[in-house]
Amino acid sequence: MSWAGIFHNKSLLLGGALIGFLLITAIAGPGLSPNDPFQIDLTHRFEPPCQTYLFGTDHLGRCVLSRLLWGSGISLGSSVCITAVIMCLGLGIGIMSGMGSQRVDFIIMRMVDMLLSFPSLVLTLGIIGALGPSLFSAAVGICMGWWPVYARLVRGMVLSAREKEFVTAARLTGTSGIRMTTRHILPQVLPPVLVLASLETGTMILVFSGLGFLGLGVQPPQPEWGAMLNEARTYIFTAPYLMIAPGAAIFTAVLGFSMLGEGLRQAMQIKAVNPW
Amino acid sequence: MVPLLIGVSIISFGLSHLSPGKVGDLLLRQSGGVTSSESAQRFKQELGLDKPLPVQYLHWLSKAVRLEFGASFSTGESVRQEMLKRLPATLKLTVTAFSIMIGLSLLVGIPAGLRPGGLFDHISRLFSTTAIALPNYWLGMLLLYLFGVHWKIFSITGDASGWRVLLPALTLAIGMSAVYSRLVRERFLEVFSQDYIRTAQAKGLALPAILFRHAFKNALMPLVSLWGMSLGYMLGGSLLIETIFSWPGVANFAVQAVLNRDFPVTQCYVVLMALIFSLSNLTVDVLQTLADPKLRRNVQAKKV
Repeated sequence: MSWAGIFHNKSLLLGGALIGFLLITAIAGPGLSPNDPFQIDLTHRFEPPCQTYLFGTDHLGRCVLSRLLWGSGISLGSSVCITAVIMCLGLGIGIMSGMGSQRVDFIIMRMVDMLLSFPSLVLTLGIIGALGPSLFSAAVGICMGWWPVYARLVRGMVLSAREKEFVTAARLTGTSGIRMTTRHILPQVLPPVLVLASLETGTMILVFSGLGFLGLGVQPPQPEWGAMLNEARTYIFTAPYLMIAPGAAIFTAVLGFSMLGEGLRQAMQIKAVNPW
Repeated sequence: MVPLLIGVSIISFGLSHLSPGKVGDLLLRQSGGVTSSESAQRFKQELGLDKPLPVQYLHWLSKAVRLEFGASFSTGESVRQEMLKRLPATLKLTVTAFSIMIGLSLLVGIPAGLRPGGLFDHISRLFSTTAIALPNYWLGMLLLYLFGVHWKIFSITGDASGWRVLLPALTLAIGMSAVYSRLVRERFLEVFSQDYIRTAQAKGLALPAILFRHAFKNALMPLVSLWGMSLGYMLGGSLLIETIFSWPGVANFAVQAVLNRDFPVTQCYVVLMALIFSLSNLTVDVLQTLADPKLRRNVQAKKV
């Protein structure tokens, strides 16, 4: 991968730029926001976009732009953390299954099969139903719904990585299991998983904000993009412009992550992996 | 299949024990009981919550196979009745969305695969990149605003009659058809580089004949295995779509149940969806074995 190659990789550049921009807004958001996102001002309800309120105000007179900026930290931060947890779980359990004894492999895979008999989002809903709607239970629910997919995928990768001749050679020279995993298997498995992680962060933003939208994730008055859409839904007749900004923000973030992932995949010359 | 269903039932049963004591307490409060320790004890005895877990599980299972999850906290009616009443609407939505997804992905994928690099290929790439990133709940709101509020073609009241299914089904289908159209394109690209297609072209067969007689089945066969997965995606997605369009289905009911802490309903929904999902996965497997001679031979070889 050369520098010239990177500059010709349009998805990588565009995706990277979008994500870079969103990261800046997520980190500097509280500093950049023109107004207090929690300030309720009932005299300024449903104000259309103007100079003080660039994106207008919502049903409680709060500044939409400020809420959007504060929200990017919650939406993006949670989604990135959730993806990281899912990938770690998937990687750890998948490697354990692929490298472990037949019995370990059997037990793990049957467990994965059971969890995969639920549509992911339905299992997530069940867990939120048991724990009660909150940011934490949404995160736990998403992790439980999605890690089995990746454990199975990683296991497949590990099994095919074990077939390589240099791995056989290493085994014949008496390399221990742990050293084998860290030095020979992990370097083969990690790059495609990282590409997948970038693609999946997009999906996680969709799911996390989707739960916020249903009122099952982040609770008001916290400004989260999905939850903001949910509040806007009530005022579809009176203030339809309220739903534009949060939706566009989610769309941009997902687009950015999927382009970044696609660009990374091209740059590292990895074959497309289908998570299903 | 059977061990899998037992696993599913254990997980569903386990959900109610994720928050220890809470469900019992909630039941008690809902029924207007006082939360003194004595009455709580008696209440738990009535519900069998003082028994060991395996006993509770078997008791639960004997009811769960008949979808008996007691009465809903919010409506007071039998959960099973409430669910079965709403199931047809959800099935109608899912099946329509599924058909739209297949149709749309073929319509976009095949022309793109026949002329890679052409204008239509670029358009289809743009479509799929956009549609994958588009949050379907946002799309649903925008469509609802345009058709329901702005142009007033679509009634926003929540009934499942007639053509009203089209808008939510389209919303549900679009994300998945974006993924599928790319796969369809790749499959047709691959099939059209095969010798037998070149032979068909060389003997002067017209394009429709080549498409339908030679390419179609070979190209699409491997994609059938993804049908089950996309159904799972749609069952999950219906949670969002039904809520936006006030669709009177089970998913909408389940979301309300989670918000109201109506646990029997949530549990029944989870079990029902797992059942439908497992059955349809099984059906897809059987269909594929029946349709694909290679797989069929494997099955027969195993028997002998």
